[in-house]
Amino acid sequence: MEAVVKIENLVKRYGDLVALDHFNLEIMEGEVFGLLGPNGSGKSTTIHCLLSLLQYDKGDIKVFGEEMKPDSYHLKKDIGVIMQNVAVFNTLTVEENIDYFCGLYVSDKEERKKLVEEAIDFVELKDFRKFYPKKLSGGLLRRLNIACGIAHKPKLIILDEPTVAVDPQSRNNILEGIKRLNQEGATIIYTTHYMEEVEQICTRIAIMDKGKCIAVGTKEELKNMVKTGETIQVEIPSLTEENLKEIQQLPHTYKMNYENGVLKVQYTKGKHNLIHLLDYFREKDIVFGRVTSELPTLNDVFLEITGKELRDRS
Amino acid sequence: MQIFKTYFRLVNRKKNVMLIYILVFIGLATAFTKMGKENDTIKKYTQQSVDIAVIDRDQSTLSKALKKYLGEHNKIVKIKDEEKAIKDELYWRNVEYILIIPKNFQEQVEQNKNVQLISKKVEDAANATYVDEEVTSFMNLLQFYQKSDYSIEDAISHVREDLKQEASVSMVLKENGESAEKEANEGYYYFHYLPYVLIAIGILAVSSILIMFYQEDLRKRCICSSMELKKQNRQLILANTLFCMGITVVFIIIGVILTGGELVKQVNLWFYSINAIIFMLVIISLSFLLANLMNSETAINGCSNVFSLGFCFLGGIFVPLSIMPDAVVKAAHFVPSYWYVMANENVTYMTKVTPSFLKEFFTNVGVEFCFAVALLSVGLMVSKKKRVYR
Repeated sequence: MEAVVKIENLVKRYGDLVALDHFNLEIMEGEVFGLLGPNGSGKSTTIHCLLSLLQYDKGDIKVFGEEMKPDSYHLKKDIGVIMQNVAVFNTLTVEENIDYFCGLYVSDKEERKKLVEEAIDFVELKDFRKFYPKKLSGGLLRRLNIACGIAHKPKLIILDEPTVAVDPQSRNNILEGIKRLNQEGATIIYTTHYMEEVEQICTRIAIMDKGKCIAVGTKEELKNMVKTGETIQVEIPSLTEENLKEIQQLPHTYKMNYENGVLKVQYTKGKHNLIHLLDYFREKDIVFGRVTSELPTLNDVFLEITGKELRDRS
Repeated sequence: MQIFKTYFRLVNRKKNVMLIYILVFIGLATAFTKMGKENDTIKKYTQQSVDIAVIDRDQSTLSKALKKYLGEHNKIVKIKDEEKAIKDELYWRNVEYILIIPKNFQEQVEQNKNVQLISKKVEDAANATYVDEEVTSFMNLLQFYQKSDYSIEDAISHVREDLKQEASVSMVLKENGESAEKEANEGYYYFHYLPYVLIAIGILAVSSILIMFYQEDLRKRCICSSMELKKQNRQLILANTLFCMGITVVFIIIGVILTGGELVKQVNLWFYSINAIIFMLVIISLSFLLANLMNSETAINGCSNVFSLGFCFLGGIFVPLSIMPDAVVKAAHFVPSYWYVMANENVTYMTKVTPSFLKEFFTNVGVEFCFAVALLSVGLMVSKKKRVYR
């Protein structure tokens, strides 16, 4: 498979702040590649450098095997961009907006008309084609934003946090759309700080922190990188100190926490953890309520590598 | 021509706002033209009436004639012939000028003796000078006739006759070394104030459209596209130029209508129009630069006011250059409206199209054009710089 995007030793500084620190990345044709990281980790900076919107201090960026420069118009022809903020004309209708942005790539009127129709169908905005953006809901507006970026049928589509402040229904619609674009042959670069989205659609993921790529792989590969296995939560009204010590001694137990009547046990990789725990409760005649078991998430991966949560909780 | 077409689509969507701009500025242009005519200082010399007193100690035919003559143009106030009263009247400004005609005044004049009329005035009263002038004129003429052996009665009669004559005054201007007598023609005032309208409407209309293209996120999307930046700018500049030229033509037609169609018969109209069109090119370039520099419509509105008023005050549109200090006039050379005013005045006082007129006119217009090119170049540079963020 051919590398659609290749970034080597990319360095970008804003004064004393190093936004990208010798960042490397390779994205293959046909991938849905997720750039995952907390706010300020350098995701958008990477995208801006990749698109030659931002001047960088050091490094090489190649797109479709060629060096990417501000005037690489022949490369830009095959790239579609959907930025974090909705970028459309408020005084043009849905259809006119899509036509305008498609027209920046496709000059043939007939061809453009066909492409605009396809884009409208794709984002399911047929009933809203004569609407002005101000009349659209947040979700519909995001769909319009996507349609403007993909109408010219690019081979590489870059989406920079396209689901920020979008309702769950529209979010699913957008994610499904991205999958379909990929099935139709486009390579996708998707940046977000929502790990659920990345897990849902990305074939490969790079986790970023402080301008560095700290891990790359499929979600399974990433989860295998860490020693954390499943996490079991049990609702128990009361547990003694002795019980807690004994639970800690059970096989594969890695971390344990008991707060507000909820026992949370994290295990290293291993089998039958739940059975061991339930057996212990039966032996000790401990009454318990709801039991849940969760497999490790990308947040656990991030937490283990960096010692902090992936999601910005502020 | 995607950007070109979209530009006019946006103009169409904003047509109501544009129409309001145009109507407001038509109103302003009309008002300015009217005000300009009314405030024309060339036609506004009027004789001043001054409160004066005449103390006639001679009570002769001549002294009475002089008093009567002064009373025709001034208001004569009766005062006592006492030193204290004279001082009081002047102190309280009841009169600005007191003429004392001494005893034996007529007799001394008849004997060709040098007669000293005594005048007392309010300190620094400019109006008193007019009365002094009137007295001097009267006495000079009288002595002229009297020396020519006219009797005092005949001399007075001739002096009165002569002083009734009024000369019609018109400004004499030097054009190309020859004296040319001409009044500002009908179009002068309209085209003199037109830059204010063109700057304001040009910046407001053009920049409000351009700013939509230059919203940061939209600009990024356009930069990421496969259409060359040069091509994008070319289409925008072309659309701007066409739109602004349309506005300029509308205002030229309005000017012709406001002047009752008189201008159509004059060759001056063509030169006024060329000047206005070239000046509009400056505004197009300025708007392009501002739209590239500014981030919001509010900022653009502010700039529109600063530039329209700044150019008009400094360039000699609102305040005549002739009353500005030299340093300000020198500074005005760096403002395009100065060259517009210069070219406009060339046209106004042009009697016929001569090579020297053409040279002067096109020099001024040429400087305006250079401003347009310079501003456009800076605008294009800023646009290119903004293609890549730092």
